[in-house]
Amino acid sequence: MAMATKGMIGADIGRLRGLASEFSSAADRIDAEIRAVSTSVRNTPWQGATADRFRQSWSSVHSARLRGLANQLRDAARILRANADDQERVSNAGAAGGPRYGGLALRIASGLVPAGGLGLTFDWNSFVTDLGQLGSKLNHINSIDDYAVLLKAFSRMNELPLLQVRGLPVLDLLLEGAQAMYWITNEGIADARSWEPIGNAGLLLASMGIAVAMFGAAAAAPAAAAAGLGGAIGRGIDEGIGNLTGKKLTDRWADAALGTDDFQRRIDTTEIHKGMSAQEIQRRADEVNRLAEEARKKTEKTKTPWGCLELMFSI
Amino acid sequence: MARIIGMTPAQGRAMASQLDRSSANLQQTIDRLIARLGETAWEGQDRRRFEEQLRGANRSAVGAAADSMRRAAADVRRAAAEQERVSRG
Repeated sequence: MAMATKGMIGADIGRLRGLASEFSSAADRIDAEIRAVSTSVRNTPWQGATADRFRQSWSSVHSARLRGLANQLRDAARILRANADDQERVSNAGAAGGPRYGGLALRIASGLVPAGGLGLTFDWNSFVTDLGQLGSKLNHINSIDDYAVLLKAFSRMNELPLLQVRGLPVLDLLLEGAQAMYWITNEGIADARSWEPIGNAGLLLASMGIAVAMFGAAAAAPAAAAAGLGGAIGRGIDEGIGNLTGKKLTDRWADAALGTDDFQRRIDTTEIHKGMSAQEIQRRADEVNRLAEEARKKTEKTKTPWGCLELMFSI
Repeated sequence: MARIIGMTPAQGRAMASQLDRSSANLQQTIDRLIARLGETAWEGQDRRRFEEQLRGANRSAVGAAADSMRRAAADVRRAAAEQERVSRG
């Protein structure tokens, strides 16, 4: 099965690149037509009400929209090429190792998921910096301080005007994870440096919030799929959480035992923290679980190599 | 009716042809992309949704621009014909 999947991915590289070329060429053709029409309209002494109306609509509406479409096609082509490159790199590496959930963050940080073409106007630089940091940190969490850095980045993301990025499911997913993280940690369970003595429940849930959000988003990128996530999202999440927490998911899942007596016992032991009731912790845990489930559903919808393209046109 | 001032009917027709050509090219560009998508092995609901969105982009951006260009071209042709008629008269 694994071989069949790998072979299919290898065969798709050519198709991805071919389609990328088609998209780029289409964008160039659209630009060429914009130039041709603009020149013709500008240089021809055509006058009258119709002429004025056409010039006005051409310069203020049509050419702008066509340029926007050309840019979208170029962005789509870049993503297709990046996906093809990623798949090729993974195929050449011949292993499923390497970064597993920083893919999307790095993809965004490198501009492969564009802001301008999608009409986003928020503080992109800060967002990219934070995402890059998250992508990097998620692969190297060794201490409570690493979590603190993560949290800080997430909390900054939480301050961004979320409404402006609504409609882009990948970012939505990330930001939902960020919100869940920020909500759980900032409002009560823990201050980053005092998590350890509190017990693992809050930290673990927060980790899952990140992991699932990141995996849900990363799975939208074919590169991540090629890195071993595609078609095995559940396993990917398992491994990811295992990596994040330094233990196998099976152990951690058992520790947290979401919805089980064991988890309830752990909640009971953390209820003294900052006066938060077990019910409140449970409520927040349920919210994280809901987000996790949502992320899984979104993951299923977007795990094809075409998910990225679809995202671009889904606004 | 538009007036063609400072250009001959032939220039007007050349402009009209340019507008028609660009209009057709834009439409053809999107049609080719949609056809290319149809040649891929990608199947299922996601693909259909993506294609619908591409068709939507076609309608909203290319379609409107192409229609506008065709109307403008027709107007220029009418003006050129009218100018020729007046010249002959």
